[in-house]
Amino acid sequence: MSVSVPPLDLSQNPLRAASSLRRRADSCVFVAFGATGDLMGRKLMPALYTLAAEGMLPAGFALVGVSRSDWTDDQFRKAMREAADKYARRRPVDDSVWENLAAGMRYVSADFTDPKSEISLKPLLQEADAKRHTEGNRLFYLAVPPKTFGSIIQNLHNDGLIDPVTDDGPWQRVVIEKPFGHDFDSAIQLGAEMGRVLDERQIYRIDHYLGKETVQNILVFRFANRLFEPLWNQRYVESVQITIAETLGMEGRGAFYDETGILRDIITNHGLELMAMTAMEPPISLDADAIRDEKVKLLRSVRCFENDDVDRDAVRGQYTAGYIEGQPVRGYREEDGVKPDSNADVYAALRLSVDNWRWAGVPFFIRAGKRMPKRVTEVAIRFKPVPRNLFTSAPSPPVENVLSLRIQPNEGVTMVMNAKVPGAAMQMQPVRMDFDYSSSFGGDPPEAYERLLHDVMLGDPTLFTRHDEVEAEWRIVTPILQRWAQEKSIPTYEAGSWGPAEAGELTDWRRL
Amino acid sequence: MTTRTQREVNARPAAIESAFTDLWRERAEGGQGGAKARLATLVSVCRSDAEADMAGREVAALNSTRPVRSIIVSLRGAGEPRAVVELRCDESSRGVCYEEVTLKEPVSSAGGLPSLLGPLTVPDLPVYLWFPGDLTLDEILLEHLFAAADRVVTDSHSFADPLDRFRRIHGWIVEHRGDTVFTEMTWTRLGTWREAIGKLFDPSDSRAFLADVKGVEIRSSHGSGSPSDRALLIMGWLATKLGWAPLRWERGDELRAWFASAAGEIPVTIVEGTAAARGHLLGVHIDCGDVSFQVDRLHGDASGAIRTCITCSGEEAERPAYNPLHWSASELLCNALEIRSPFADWEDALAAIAGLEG
Repeated sequence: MSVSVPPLDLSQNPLRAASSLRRRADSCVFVAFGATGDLMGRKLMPALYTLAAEGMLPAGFALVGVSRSDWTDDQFRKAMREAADKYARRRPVDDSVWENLAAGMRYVSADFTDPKSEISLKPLLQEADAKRHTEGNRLFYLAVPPKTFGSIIQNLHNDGLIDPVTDDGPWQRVVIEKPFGHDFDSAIQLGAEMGRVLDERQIYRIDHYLGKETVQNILVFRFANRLFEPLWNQRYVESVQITIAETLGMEGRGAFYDETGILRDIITNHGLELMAMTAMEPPISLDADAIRDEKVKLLRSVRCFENDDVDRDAVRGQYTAGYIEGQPVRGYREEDGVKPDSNADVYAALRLSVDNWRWAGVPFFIRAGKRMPKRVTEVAIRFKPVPRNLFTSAPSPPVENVLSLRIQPNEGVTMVMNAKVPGAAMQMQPVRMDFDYSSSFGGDPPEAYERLLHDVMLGDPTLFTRHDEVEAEWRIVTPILQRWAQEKSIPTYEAGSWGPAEAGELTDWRRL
Repeated sequence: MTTRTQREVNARPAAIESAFTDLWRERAEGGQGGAKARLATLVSVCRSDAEADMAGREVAALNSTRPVRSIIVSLRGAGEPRAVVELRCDESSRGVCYEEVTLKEPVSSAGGLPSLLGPLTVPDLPVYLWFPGDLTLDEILLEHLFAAADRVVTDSHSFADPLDRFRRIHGWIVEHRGDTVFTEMTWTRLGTWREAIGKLFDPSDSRAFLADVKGVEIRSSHGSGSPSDRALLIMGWLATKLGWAPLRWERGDELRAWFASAAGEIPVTIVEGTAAARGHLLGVHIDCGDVSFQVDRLHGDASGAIRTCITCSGEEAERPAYNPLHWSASELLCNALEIRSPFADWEDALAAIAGLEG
């Protein structure tokens, strides 16, 4: 019996089509600028090691560190090993995994921001292609101050290391860390600078918050549960409160904060991203652009501030000396690197209005602060009260339902509802229903950087901020920054409290 | 630290549930909290006490990340049916408890066992059926168990005769399609091999050779006289991915199978080799005339590293090496719990194996 078999379609690799349960990244060289810095040691190297230990790194992989420090390859490897030993999620470090990773590590001492620099990375990267099978793919990670982004990218271009985007050729991707500019105009300028050399598809703007499992769970919670979405609008929601509170003070970042402030550092990206994920319309798919299109639409519908609005709807503050967890702490202006007459905001709270059908009339409150009583990040949806209270004889009326998405710590979802107190009398009491992530899904969830670095290697930009998203965020906060820059005085709050008294005039903040 | 409290009771659902209620109450009265977290019911069907012990250990490890209600069925012997009901609590800050029932020598008649298991499953959550060992149970009993499960997890590593078992599983998949999903632990174990082989053909000039394959040799160590499960699965996978139709097989010192491709008949040979551990895949060589694509386990490498290379007219060009992940059974179970869709490639591979006439 003869069997007729059609010819094989080889336009794509048939052995790779839909065959893998786990997505494996393309082979590549990871070039880290700022390789001797804190971010590399605390986050990037531990994440790369854990990816290697979990089999998520491509088989062809090399790491090239670039920095001004006069290190050798061996010094770099040693420092990276120490970083992995100390901070990797998977510890102790497996020697066989490490040796394979370390064999592909090289270090270059260079000031790559200097346009006259004659040091070329090209030979080293070609060597990696030959020895480590990295196939011409390059991931440039700029763990350096934003003011140097432009010159580094230009130098890479001059060195012939950035090619136009093609569908099937080797790729080059550039990862940058926030802040993406310091106001609306500078964000436009940075985008234009990068756009001269790079296609938007080559730029990965990291906001590590988006890599957190619980932030991604907002999408699942909203769009995989029919239960909540019908309530997710102005008809049922009274207000939304987003809190990003830290107990830490400056921890060596005083000079940075003095120039930046918390509105730029936290609210412009983390706060508004959380708001966008919470309030956006359902995307048509989970494609990167479908999700980011919806986030941009939401951010663009946030009402712009005028000067009077800032005075009414935005509050800032600085902490004075106080106590955190029973220990005395200094005030902000006494912190190292902070000017004694600093005008920087280390607390900020905003009332935002969203001008669309779903959210018309629902205030969104975002607050972020340093030296708060506890470390907590959460999104709380406060629902409207019942239209008529039947329980008039009860000592107190029913409380409003609150649904809270806890991002960190104790990740999970809680709901406050009313329940009858057992007994003859009709008494009510609010009770809390708790879904705790760690109970249902134990183990350590992946670090945000593991997920994000892997996504860059896969070429998946879903969890990265697109340029128009960055612009939309700066459009919201720039008028506030401009107004605050004109003001000489700044409200204060005692370290260990929930912010200046003025913030209490914005809303009745949840007790956390 | 994990604490365990248990009761031995009659193997009847009401007695078992009542024992659980007592254990929870005692814990609460003792001032100990504990969250009852359950993502699924996992029924482990074991043929011996040793298998049941192994399943218990793996389920305990699984529960540290994915808490389930665990029902371990130990079918050995014909003694009096009894049930050990146990509450295991992680006393760390996580404070999660899980419930486990071990059914010893339960009624194993075709209808009897499912009628005992049904009331013990957690409502609304999926029911997983795990066979840690070989599938040597009575066919009618298996059919009843499959019908009660959302997902069946098998481990071909334990199969004495993988060729026979794969044919049977293929039959069950066809019969239960749409109701019960079957998955296989070894398919996940083979992930790195599939990736390493596939990656060799990413460049379009290499890919062109896939239309002109002359033959495939797969080396493995099974040690039982049967071709290894991993070698068979790789064979089935290559055949379906490359569009080859199964023809026939014959078994001598080695297993030879023939497939039809557009270019003609392709022989696939499974050769028994030697390895430190039973069951390993040792190498896959795809012969395309002057060019050969090779993926080999590195001898003496404790990590089981895999090298890949392309040989053209006798000249070798090294390609990237891979470090396979070493999965524990609990990690593979966790994987099976997370992925709800069928393993389509595995099902196709089984169909190719089952389609061979011998």
